[in-house]
Amino acid sequence: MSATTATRRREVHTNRPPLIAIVVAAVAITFFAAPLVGLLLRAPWGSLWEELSAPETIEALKLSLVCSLAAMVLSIVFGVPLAWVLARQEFPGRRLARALVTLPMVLPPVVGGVALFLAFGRRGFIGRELDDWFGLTLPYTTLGVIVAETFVAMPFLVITVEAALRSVDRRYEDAAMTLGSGRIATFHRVTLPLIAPSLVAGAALSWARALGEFGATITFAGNLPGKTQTMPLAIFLEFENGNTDGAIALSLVLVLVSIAVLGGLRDRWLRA
Amino acid sequence: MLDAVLDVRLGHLHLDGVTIEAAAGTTVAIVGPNGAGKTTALRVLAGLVALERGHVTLDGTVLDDPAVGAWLEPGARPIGFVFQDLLLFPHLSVLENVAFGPRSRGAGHSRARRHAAEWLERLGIDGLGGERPGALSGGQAQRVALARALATDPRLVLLDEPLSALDARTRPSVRRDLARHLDTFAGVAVVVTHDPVEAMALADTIVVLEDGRVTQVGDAAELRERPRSAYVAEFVGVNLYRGTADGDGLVLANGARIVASDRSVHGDALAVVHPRAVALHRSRPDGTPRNVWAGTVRHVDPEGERVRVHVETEVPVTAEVTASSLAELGLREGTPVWASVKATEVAVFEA
Repeated sequence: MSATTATRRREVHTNRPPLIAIVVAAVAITFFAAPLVGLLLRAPWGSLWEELSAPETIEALKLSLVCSLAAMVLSIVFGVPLAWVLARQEFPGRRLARALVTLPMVLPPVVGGVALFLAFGRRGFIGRELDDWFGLTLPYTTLGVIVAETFVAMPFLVITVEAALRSVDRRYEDAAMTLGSGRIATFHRVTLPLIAPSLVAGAALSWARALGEFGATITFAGNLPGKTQTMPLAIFLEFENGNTDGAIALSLVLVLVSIAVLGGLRDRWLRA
Repeated sequence: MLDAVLDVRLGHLHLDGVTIEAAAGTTVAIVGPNGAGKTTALRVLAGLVALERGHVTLDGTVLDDPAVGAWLEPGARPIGFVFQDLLLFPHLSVLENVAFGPRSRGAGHSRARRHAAEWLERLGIDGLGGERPGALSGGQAQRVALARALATDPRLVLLDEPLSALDARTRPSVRRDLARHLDTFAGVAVVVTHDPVEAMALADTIVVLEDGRVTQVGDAAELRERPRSAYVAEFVGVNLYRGTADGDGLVLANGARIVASDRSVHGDALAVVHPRAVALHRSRPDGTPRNVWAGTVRHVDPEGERVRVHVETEVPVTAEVTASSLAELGLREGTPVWASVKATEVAVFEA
């Protein structure tokens, strides 16, 4: 035992990166830390509460929470069955389907917004039907915000849950089946509990992504205060209008949320 | 009463007309080398794999018969399955694990728990109901797995290498325990194992599966006296030779001869020599033995007081000697040695 430890320590020692790499790494870390520091240095600590308790701010915050949580719920409701099918069902075009699901992760959100508009806008080939049949309009509505956020957020949940479903020991499901459990009950009572950590991680990631959504939202749903103006949009607007203090105050809220999500996921993502 | 003929292809494996028959109250062991299809056979009986041809019938109920389109889902079969590695649900307590079956099969919440508690008591682990599987010892987990399989009151219980997860120290006591429970079990039990001791301790009948086919069926004594394949001979620990009987013994493919006093068999035949009937000498033995072969020691396996010595000669042979005679002879790997067998100790029968 002690011999192994000694060997390992010596290995780490000889494999230490050279000084140049350490210097470059320090520059990179500064690059990540500097914006955060800037935010904290310039924060209007004295008037922070005033900035945050302005009615428009509260409204944006509320809208952001409602829409991002709704997007997370939709991501779970549609994403878990989708992940299940992608992980377990052989079908032609499965690779294509998986590529399609991952596309929003790499697609510029603005492009996503335009594309959503062309499909779900009033004249879009699906939006037209929604309007005709249900009188449902998505663009420039809160529902539109939720749709745009779900579009960019769901892939995070699907990818995380699918990976978990692939790695779970399927013989547990066999065991449940021999005990008399049906497919859906087995998924609910055995599979989901086994992959619960991944499901929580995927949900948190998709929620964080939805909360920060900007490009697709502003393109597809516009920037209407109280209706479609979420936190990121409000921050952008404040910043554009020269109200830097307001922008910083709102930003600090999102920073706090991001840190909380990271903290919640630390076991999964940050443990080296 | 279990009556099954299994025919199914899965990848490289082909279960080719594997027949398994057992009366209620008896235990069948399926033994065979790795990849022979033992686990697949169990999975077919459980309904986790569907047959292509053949049938599975239990107490007159057809569980699977593609010819007539009969099929029961695993959960609709009166079976209990003890999996290799046990596969207790890690997120459920011991009691909830055992209650899972009754609950899934329609019992109410409290009735399922009561039933589960009864099974825990019956297996002597009623104090563990609140534990998580991760907190159990190997022997305890094994009992929980058995309780979970039996809690649905099955008429067929399937056990896949039930003791393989245990360390060598706890295995004998758990094996005795398991044998006792299977003895009192009213239905049919099918145990997959690669451990001869386990097969002989638990089963009334042993089915030998090799490469998807049944090569032999019988009880332990029958297998020991008349092994039909090299695998069976190795499994039961005897020397088996295949060759041609010519009225004076057996001639092997390499031309070597094993002299037997039994002269009744002619043609393709098998000869069995028990390792205890093989004597080892450092110099050519005098006297009566008709079979004397010179060779070298290939390797030495101590098994308690007895030691199995594998000798490389024109007739490769395993001898079983006491530890003291091994020391007396000074046998090690590579030692030149003479092996002798009396003609009366060679059993010959038709292949």
